[in-house]
Amino acid sequence: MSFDYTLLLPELILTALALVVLVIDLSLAPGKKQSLTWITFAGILVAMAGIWPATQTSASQTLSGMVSSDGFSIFFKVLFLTVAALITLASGPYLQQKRLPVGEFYILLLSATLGMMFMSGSRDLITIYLGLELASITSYILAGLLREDPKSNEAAIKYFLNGAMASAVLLFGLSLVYGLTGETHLDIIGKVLNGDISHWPIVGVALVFLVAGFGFKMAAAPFHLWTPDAYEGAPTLVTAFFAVGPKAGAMAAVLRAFTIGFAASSGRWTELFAILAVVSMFFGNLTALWQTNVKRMMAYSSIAHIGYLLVGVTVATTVPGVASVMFYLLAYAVMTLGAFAVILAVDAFGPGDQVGNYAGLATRSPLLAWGLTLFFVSMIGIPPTGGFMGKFYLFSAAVQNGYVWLAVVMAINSAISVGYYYGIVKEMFVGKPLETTSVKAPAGVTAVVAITMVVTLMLGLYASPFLNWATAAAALPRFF
Amino acid sequence: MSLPLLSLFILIPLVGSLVTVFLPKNSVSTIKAWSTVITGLTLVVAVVSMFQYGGAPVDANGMKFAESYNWIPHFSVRYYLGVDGFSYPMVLLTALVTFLATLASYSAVHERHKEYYALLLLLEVGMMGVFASLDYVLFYVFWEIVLLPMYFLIAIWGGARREYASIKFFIYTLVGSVIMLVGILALYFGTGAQTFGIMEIAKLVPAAQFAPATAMLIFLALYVGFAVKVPAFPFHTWLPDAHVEAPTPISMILAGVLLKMGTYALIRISATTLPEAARAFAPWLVAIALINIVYGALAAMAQKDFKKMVAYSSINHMGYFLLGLAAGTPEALNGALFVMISHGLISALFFFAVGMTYERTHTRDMAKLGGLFLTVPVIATFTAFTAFANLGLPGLSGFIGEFFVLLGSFPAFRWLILIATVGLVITAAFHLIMMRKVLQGEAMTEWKGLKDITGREVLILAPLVVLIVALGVYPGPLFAVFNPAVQSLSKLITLAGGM
Repeated sequence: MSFDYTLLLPELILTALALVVLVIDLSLAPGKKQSLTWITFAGILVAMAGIWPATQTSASQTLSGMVSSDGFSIFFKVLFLTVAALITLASGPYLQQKRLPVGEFYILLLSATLGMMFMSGSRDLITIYLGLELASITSYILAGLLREDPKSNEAAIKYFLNGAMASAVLLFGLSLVYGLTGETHLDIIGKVLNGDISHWPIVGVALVFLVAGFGFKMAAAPFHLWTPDAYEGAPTLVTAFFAVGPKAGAMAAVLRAFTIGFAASSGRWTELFAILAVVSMFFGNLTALWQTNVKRMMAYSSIAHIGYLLVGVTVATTVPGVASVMFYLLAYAVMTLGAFAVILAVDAFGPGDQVGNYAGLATRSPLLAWGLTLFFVSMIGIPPTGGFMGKFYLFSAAVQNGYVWLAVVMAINSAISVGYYYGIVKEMFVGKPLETTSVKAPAGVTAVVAITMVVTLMLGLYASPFLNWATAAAALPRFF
Repeated sequence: MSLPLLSLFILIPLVGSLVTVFLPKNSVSTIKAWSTVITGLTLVVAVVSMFQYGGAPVDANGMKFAESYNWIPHFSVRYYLGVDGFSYPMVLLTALVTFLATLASYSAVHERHKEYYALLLLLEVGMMGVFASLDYVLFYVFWEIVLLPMYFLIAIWGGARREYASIKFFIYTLVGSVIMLVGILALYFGTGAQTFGIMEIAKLVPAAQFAPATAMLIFLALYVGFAVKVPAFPFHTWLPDAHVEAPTPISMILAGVLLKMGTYALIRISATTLPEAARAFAPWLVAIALINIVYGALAAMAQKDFKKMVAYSSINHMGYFLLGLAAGTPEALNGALFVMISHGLISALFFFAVGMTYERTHTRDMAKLGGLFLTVPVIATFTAFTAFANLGLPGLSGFIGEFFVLLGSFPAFRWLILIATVGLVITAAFHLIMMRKVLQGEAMTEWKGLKDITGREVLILAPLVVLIVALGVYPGPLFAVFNPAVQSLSKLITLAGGM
């Protein structure tokens, strides 16, 4: 069976949903498009339900083996759809308030999610690249959605130029691999490259290009230059999506491509990722210390978190390595979306996006303030949160594989990161507010904050089911 | 013994804290009453457990009231609680001090009551968990849970320099505990243990045959985490800041219970798990202990601020604990544990006494106070009692612990002990100076007509005073609780080539 539709059901539902939204959007008068939010939200839930059949069949490959629907991709599909659902939940009043084009926003969000889902499922260089480009191009447009805002325009242009270059670099790397092996399917590439060291110098060059290309997409330092501007300029809701979705997509592609296609040269690329990890952690954390704009600060913080994740990629030659990256991505997605929900509320429905705007938030809106505190605590890696459990997993995976020094660097960086999170927490709890009225967050945003708070605590206190899930999913694809 | 007593110590305040979050913000008296009921209930459970402790069965690790469930099988982490002679008295102390601190909060906290009491209860959760858990990861989780409420309690309700003091406390403890985590993981992977159990890993360490240098590195990683909390020189500088800026009830908990998390961990984990490294480190520990004793006392003498003086005296007293631990003889260890309990009672009382004066005069400058014997005689008498207890007057609990530490460590360190006795003299001196400045002398006009002690304050003082006297006169029962754990530890130390 080379073309099994049931395995692609979530992708097909998402595609149909995007078309439905497009048509309904045309039929609704401007200003009366609130129903689109709920249609999109419901559709994403249906797509999530559409994953079910794939878990019930033994078949795992479709489209002539180019796409697989195994535990690994199902884990990521659930993650991407959850992200999209939470973003949608928070979106309604925000889009209205910022007068963003409602229909376009949802279509772009759904398309980007679709692209990311292909990135996680692909076993072929062509489909990986297609998924990546679908996610990227829609992201460029999303960054520029605030058409009258020069900062948003700048964000879109910067993201586009950098992203296009990254795609070119990546494509060049892919073409080298194709030239060497005559194949685009990862399994076969892995077989051809295995045990044949005569290709090494060119494989090495290709690896560097691939690492650089994916590094751009996930915003690892030193390939992060677009990140701060894109994060600051893009509408906050879009920034929230950028901070989670494309990064997780690139991470999924990296985990699969490198562990299957380049298993033979793992000694080399793990070193490259170790270097990226160290640079990202230090650069992200140290630069974040000096930021006064919260969205910009979160951009640098996300670079640091990519650094933590890359510690896991460095030991991705083992199941705990892959599983720790997946579990941390889950925790990272939840706490980051929660933090951005608060940032969005304070930015769009409160005083603004500067650190000083958070003064006295604890007395103005206790839920938002305590929520953000919990997310920051989780990002620092303090128990009892998902962030702690995730870092603990990465940490022990690194130590287990002899990367004690990398674990120590991670520990040092966790301590550094206290500095900038603390700045906001201090403002919220000790600062004197200019106004005393509460920040009126819309119900959807409040719901996202509450949900992510609960899940963040759950990932810390009741982590077992999630750890087992990540481990089972990490063991499924053919690694080594 | 079907009742999970130790879980109750954690669950009662946890539920109490969660419920507090949902109480209406403005019904302050409800919030106060609720927190009092919760901490009171915890104390009642503690008292009830005292009747069962003696006859309670022990588990394979010699722990009473043990509870063990799988928590995260993936990392072989268990929810494993249990107490022995080291930890059980600390659990009781925590229940008592937190209850009294709740009562003391009535007059010390004037804004944002809901958040305050919710955090106070959460703090109790963390402290109880630290003393009761016997799994490294669980222990670490509780250790960190203590950190957050304490940070907010100082940062929001503290004095003028609260921002500086709270973040300093936070950074010191966080860096310490991250280093400690590296040590814990090194122990786990180094021994190849299939469990994070504290007692289980301790049993596996001899077979793992760490190189002395490796064992020392692990020991130091753990030591840094614990020493920050104690605090042992040179990690002590956060303490005077945090104590001075914290509101009175929080100072009571900080000095009474929180510092003991460090000393408890040193004895439960460092000394038990890595006895050889602990022996090798002992000469350094003696030096640190003596610095704590002498420097703490001298620094206390130099203070003009009443509260800061008490804070430095904590550093001084923790020196005796470290000295007893370094000596490692049964007498010294018993004495060290006694110092923990006794200092827990006395320092809580002392900070409360300082707080009573401060709430009335709004100054802590000892030069501005004076003649309190004449203006507020009852408060002044209690303050004098506390000062005598703190300087180690025979007949009160402070004397017993320090006496046994000195007695037990003399065979080990001989004339070095003289330095510690110099510390005793300085300690007596600064207390007498304080009493002359603050309590004696002419009644100052601005303090005339101050209200003397209230019924609530007597209620807070009384249990502490009674216990300080009772333990000073009749310390036997407490030693009887310590002794089984002390005997097995001192056997380990003897095997490791100690005294």
